[in-house]
This record gives sequence, structure tokens and C-alpha cells, in this order.
Amino acid sequence: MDMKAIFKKAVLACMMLAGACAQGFAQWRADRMSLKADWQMNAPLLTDFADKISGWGMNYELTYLISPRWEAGVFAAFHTNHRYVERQTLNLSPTEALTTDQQRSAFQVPFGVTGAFNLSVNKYCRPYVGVKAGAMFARNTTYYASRGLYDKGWGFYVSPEVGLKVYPTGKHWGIHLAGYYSYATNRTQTLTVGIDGQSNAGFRLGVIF
Amino acid sequence: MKKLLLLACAALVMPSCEKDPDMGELDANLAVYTDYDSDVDFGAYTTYFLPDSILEAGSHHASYWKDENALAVIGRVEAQMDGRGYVRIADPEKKNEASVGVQLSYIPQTTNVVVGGYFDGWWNCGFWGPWSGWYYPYPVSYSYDTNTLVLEIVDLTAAESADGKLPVVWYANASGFDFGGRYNLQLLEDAVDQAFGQSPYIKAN
Repeated sequence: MDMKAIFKKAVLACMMLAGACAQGFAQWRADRMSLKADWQMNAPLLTDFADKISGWGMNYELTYLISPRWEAGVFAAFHTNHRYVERQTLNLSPTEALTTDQQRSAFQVPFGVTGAFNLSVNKYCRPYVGVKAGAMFARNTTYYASRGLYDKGWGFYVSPEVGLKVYPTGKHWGIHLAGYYSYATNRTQTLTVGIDGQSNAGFRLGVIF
Repeated sequence: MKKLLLLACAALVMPSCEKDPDMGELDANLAVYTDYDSDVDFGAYTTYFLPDSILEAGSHHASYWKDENALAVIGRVEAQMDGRGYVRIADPEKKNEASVGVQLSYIPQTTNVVVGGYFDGWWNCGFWGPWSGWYYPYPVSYSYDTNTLVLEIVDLTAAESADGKLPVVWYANASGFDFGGRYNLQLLEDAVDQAFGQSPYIKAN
């Protein structure tokens, strides 16, 4: 296939995509858009770093109801978990030792796209299953004595979730409840442990408007 | 569009919303770090020389810390070395006869911080409402004191290297906040015990 044919096909594809988008915009309805603001409880799993469950986090989602059952949009969240480790002697290498207590802090900021499938289209109560995917920034800090060591990094993020949207008046605003698991590919090195992949589990409680 | 703006604002303030841990939960003890030359046989040493002063590193020149507080720290080092079976050579004229030399250094440090303009602050964002950070319209300064005690064992039996340097076969440092007074002295003495405690290989045959 010569370059001219490729160019023609590309132009045709662009025109078709533009047409589809134009049709989408023509059907755009602001009342199908919703914003969720959630408080969340989160517990890191299997990192052996800062794995104490905490409620220091929020989740925000802006979604559009494509059809009565399908919803898609963008999300951004943040969370901090801590863990105090009592004074102990750490063998940093075959010849190095460090005795100290530690205050560990794990900070995570995932963001990306989100999609959900409503299991019911009931006016007042809509259970759903969904998934989030995107990128995550993570910063893991170890504070000890008068010092602090941290490492930060980026990774891919994916998070399946199940939830419930409750609309008490049957109108646009409601209450949001969700449980989730997440996994990110972030790699960070801390004072004592190397973290290769971060898993979390938690739940969210928020409002929809 | 309002919802979109709200989400954008939320995303912008997220990096400043890390919750700081409770630093008051950390104990006041100094963090003690040690390292050593694994090729050295500490059992082959028999005697040591320990000066009766601690070198205090200053920003321009070093001085020597010699008062009763310094002697208390030195005494703790002496007790540890004696307890490991080494014999102290007290006469400075005979220090060349010692197997090893033990040298102590103390580094006090005051950190001055001046902040102004935009500042993340320590309080959790959102505590007072939907603000994303803090700023001072005027300069604000504060300071905190830290201190480090360094203990080193140098091998006086080693063959002199081409550049005339002595090998440091054991290194320890204890660092943390300086609380001043008798309490801080106790922390330094405890740190000496800890440094030797986590170095069981320092032992005469």
C-alpha cells in the first residue's frame, strides 16, 4: 500500500471519528453528568511499610451516563497511611546496623479514567460494578530521630470496585457507597524494605451531585 | 462546567493534602548507626588509647570538649572497651603502644529556618475550610538543635599506607534532637552503650 492510500484511509478514519464525536456532542446532556466526592478508608496490603488503615483520603469522580446502564468519566484520589515502628536494630547490610524507632508515611495519588455498569436502573437505588485505571504517584517516607528518608515514583493503576448509588428523592443528588481493591505498579525503596507494587483495599462514602 | 471546575480544583490541591504523621510518637533516643571493616579481627587487639577530650566540630575550627559531661561520655566508652576485654593505655606518651585508638567527635548543629510567602504548613489542609495551603505576608523564623556523636576506632597496628592514613575499622554515629542539659547527656551515654551493644564483634580474645 502506497503512502497516498494510507493518507486517504487516515483522512477517512478521522472524518468518521469526527462524525461520531459530533453525534456524541449533539446528544450531550448536562443532567447526565455527575460529580462524586467521597471520603475513604484505605488499608495498604502486603507492603509491610505503612499498612495501618486510615481515613485520611478523598476520592473525586466526574462521570457521564452514556446509557441507562453505562457510566464513564475521570477520577482523582489521594490517601495517606501511617505506621509507627518501635525502636529496633535494623541490619542495613552485612556490616551496617541502625537502631531507631520509625514513623512511616505512605502517600498515594491515583488518577485516570473510570467506568461503571449499573446492575439496576432503579430510580432510587443503583448497585454497580466498575473499574478505574490510570496512573499513580506514590511517596513513601520514613521519619526517624531528626531525619526523614523518602522515595517517590510513578506507576500504572487499576482498581475494580462494587458500589451502591442511593437517590433518596429519585432526583440527581444522592449518596455513594463503594468498596474497592486497587493495585499499582509503583516501585519505591524505603529505609528497610523495597516496595514493588502496591495493593490497597478500602471503602468510600460520599455524595453525588 | 461547575462540576468540572470543582474536580480540577480538587486535583490541584491533592499533592498538598498529605497527612503528616504524629512525630511526637517518636521516642527521644538518638538513632545509632554502626559499620565496620569485616576483614579486621577485633580479637587480635589487646590495648586501646582513649583521649580525655571530645573533639567538637565547629563551623570555622574545631575545639575540645573537656568538662565533666565530656568525661562522663568518655567514661562510658572506657567502660564498654574494658568490658570487651581491652586494656586502656592512659599515658599519652605511650599511645603508640596501643593496638587501637578510640576517637570521639561531637557535632552540634542549629538549623535556622526562615519562611515567607507560600508555605505548605504542617496543619492538615481543609481543617479551616476549603483552603489549599498557607502563606506568611511577613518573614517567620524558627530554629531547632540537633547533635551527633561520632565514635571511631582506628587500627594503630596497621601498616602505614602510602599516603600515611590510618584505617578506621569501626564507625558509629548517634544523632537526633538536642534537648540540652542532663537529659541530653543521658541520651548520649545511652547511645554509646547502644553503639557497642549492636557491635558484638568488638571483643578481645
